[in-house]
Parts: sequence; C-alpha cells; structure tokens
Amino acid sequence: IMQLLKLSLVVQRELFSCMNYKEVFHFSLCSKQSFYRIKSLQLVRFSNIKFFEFMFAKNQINVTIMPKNGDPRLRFEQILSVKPEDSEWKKFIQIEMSGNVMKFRRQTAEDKLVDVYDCKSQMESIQNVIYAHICNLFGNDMEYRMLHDLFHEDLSKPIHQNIKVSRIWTQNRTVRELDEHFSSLPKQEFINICMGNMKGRLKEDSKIFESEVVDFNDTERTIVIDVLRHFNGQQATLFTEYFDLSEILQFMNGWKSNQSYQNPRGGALV
Amino acid sequence: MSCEEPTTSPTPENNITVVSSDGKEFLLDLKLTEQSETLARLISNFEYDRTDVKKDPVPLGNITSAQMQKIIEWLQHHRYYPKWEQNDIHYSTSFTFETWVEEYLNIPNNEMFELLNAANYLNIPRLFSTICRIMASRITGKSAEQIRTVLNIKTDVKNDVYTGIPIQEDSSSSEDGMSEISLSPSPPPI
Repeated sequence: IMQLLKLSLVVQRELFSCMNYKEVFHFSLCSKQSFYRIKSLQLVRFSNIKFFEFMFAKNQINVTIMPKNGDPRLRFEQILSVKPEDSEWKKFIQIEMSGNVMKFRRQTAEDKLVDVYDCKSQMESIQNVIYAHICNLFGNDMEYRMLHDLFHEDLSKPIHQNIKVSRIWTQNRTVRELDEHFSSLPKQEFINICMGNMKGRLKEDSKIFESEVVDFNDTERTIVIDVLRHFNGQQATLFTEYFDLSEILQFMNGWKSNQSYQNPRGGALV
Repeated sequence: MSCEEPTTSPTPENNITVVSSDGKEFLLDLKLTEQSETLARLISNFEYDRTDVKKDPVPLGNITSAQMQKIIEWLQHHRYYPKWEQNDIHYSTSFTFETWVEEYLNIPNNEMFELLNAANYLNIPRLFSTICRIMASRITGKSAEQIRTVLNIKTDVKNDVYTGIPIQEDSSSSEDGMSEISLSPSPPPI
C-alpha cells in the first residue's frame, strides 16, 4: 500500500500547501516521520507566523496562531484545543507529541480533543509536552505568548523558556504565587495581569519589574504601589482605584528628576 | 467549470503513441498532450507535431496502463478547458469540486497516491493540484489518529507522556479503539 510519506517531496509539499495550519499541525502528530516531514517542508509557511498563543487553564488548553500583518492568505487560526478530563475510559486513542504518547478519548462537537489523565499532577506533563511539541515543530525563534489562569491551586508553574508575552488572570491567590509564576519564565516583553482579591506584596527583585511593558488591572491596589516603586521597564499602564496621590507624586518627581525610573518612557494610571 | 466539447475525429497525423510500464500502447491526441507539460515538451523537442516526422512510441516507464487509462479520461474531460492557473500558495482546505471530478477521484487512497505520482511525472498541473486538494479535504477536521487511519500512517511513538516509560503498541488504539472516535457531542461515561 502506498503511503503519503513515501511520495516524492515535491508532491508532499504541494499536498501540505493545500492544508491549513490546523491540519498541518495534526498531521505532524501522526508519527515522528510526519513530524519531521512537516518541519522540513513547511519552513516558508512557518516564517509567515507572527506569534503563537498558548492558553493554559484548568479546563482547557488552546494553541492559536496569528499570522503576520499584510498576509491576506493567512488568518487567525486555532490549531489545538484540548479539554483535560480526569475520568477513566476503557478505550482511548493515542497521539504522539515530542516522542511521548498522550491518551485522548475523542473529539467533542466543538472539535476539541479530550485528554484523559489519571491524576492532577499529570496536567503539568500534558502542558509541557504540548508546548515542547510546538516549539520543536515551529522553532525557538517564533514569538510565543501565554495566557494563563491562576485561579486554581493545581495549575503548574510554567517552565516554558520561549514565552516572552504573558497574560494572567488570577483571583483569591497570593501575590507571592504570582511572583513564583514569573520567576520560572525569562524576562518578559509584555505582562498583562487582571487580578482580584489578592493578598501580599511583590518581592523587590520580582521579575515582573524587569518586563519592558506592563498592563495591570489591579482595582484593589494590591501591587500597583510596588510597581510604581520598583518597575524598571519602559511602559506601565495601571488600572486601579483608591489611589494615594502622594505615591503618584513621588513617582512623577523621581521620573522628572531622572533620579530614579530612568527606563520608563511612558505611563498611564487609570 | 464545464466546457462544450466539439466532436473531432483523431487522425494518425495528430496522434502519438505512449507505452505504459506494463507494455500497453495508448494512442493520444496531440491536443490532449497539451495538458501535460512533460509530453508537450517532449513532442516539441522531437517535433512530433510535424506530419513529416516519424513518431516513435513514447515509453512511460513510471505509469501503469490502469493509471494511463485514468489519466486519458481526465485529459479528455478537460480537453477544452482553459489553461490551468496555479496559485502558488493555498493554505486552505475550503475547496469545491465539480461533480465529475468527485466521481472521477472517488477511488482508494493508494490509487489516488499513484495517480498523484503519475500526474506529477507527466506534469499535469490541473490534475496534480486537484488530487492534492481532494486529499487535503479528506483530512479536514480529523484528529491525528483519524488521519493515521485515512492516510495509512504507522505510528512510531516511544514514551508514555504520563509516566515517561517507553511503551509498546497499545492495544487500546486498535481497530476497536478507533470506533470510539466520534463527533457526537456527549458520549456516555464508561
């Protein structure tokens, strides 16, 4: 029986060019050979990707591709949607990612793969394997962004070294956990945090302060003052309430006199 | 797209003979060969379009008689179609096909792959692209496991993601397990 992967490379490349990103990605999951074939034959197409966005939440893992501007042939596309589920199933399908086998139950009507896992600690492996597979396939030079919810205690810390842009939703947790989240990430280019009912203070050497641009929605003023005092990036946008005017004046005076806050080029307090 | 096909009677002057890999000879109208860049170039190089040139049979060692028969059917159907203009990049599977094409390519995958190879060898862009698009549309919306089944791709997985332990081929991904793949919204828990 003739197999697709035994066709000539010219034929395979033409075949892949008729697939969208999602299909190309799922084809790469079929086997190691299909993975390397996609990786080697789709380099030109991959150069048209602007960034990847991972969304890691308790009940959903999504991976989305955004094309570069000005390329009308490409469009925003979700390539993977996984719904983790810790129920037991007698039968499942296996899909390879980064040389590992993942057990999936089926696809839902929304075209999501349901990931079958036995205990909550396995969620970290699942996230890491998805991340590793995508980085291996598309390369480390791509821009990878991460949307993460920190609502649940069982969510693992990210260990993804290519993430440069992070969006976080968090509630009913401690600021220390937020600090720990970023401690395992490289210096961020952009951090967006929406937080509520948080307790604690950021550490003075928090990696959050090293980010180039921050955009925080902190209506309860939990970390805004820490950011004003220690932020060392270029631009900060802070949404908050009940603000102490003296803190703003201190920040503005320090900025104007160049005695501190030498890096920030712009700021907005709303 | 469809075109009216005026009736023409082939004459020896405007025919060439091609020989398939299994030795069967096919008489091809020169008008049909225009759709194949390989044959068109060969005819041009050997001046087979001239009536005073002796036309030796053209051996097509990579193409069987069954494939040649299928290709001639395609060439005849598209005889009066305008020249195929290929978009260099598609990145999409939202293709539509005319009924005749869907029926013509309603064949098993292995035959489709062979036809694709033949179309590539003879350089028939319309057929080549159409098969690629049909193949791509066959895996639209399918998971990796379903793609494996459709395209007959053998898995070569190594480690269990949950334990990191090397695994053997799992019986749960066998034919029985595949029956669990469904697009229905909510399967009952076992």
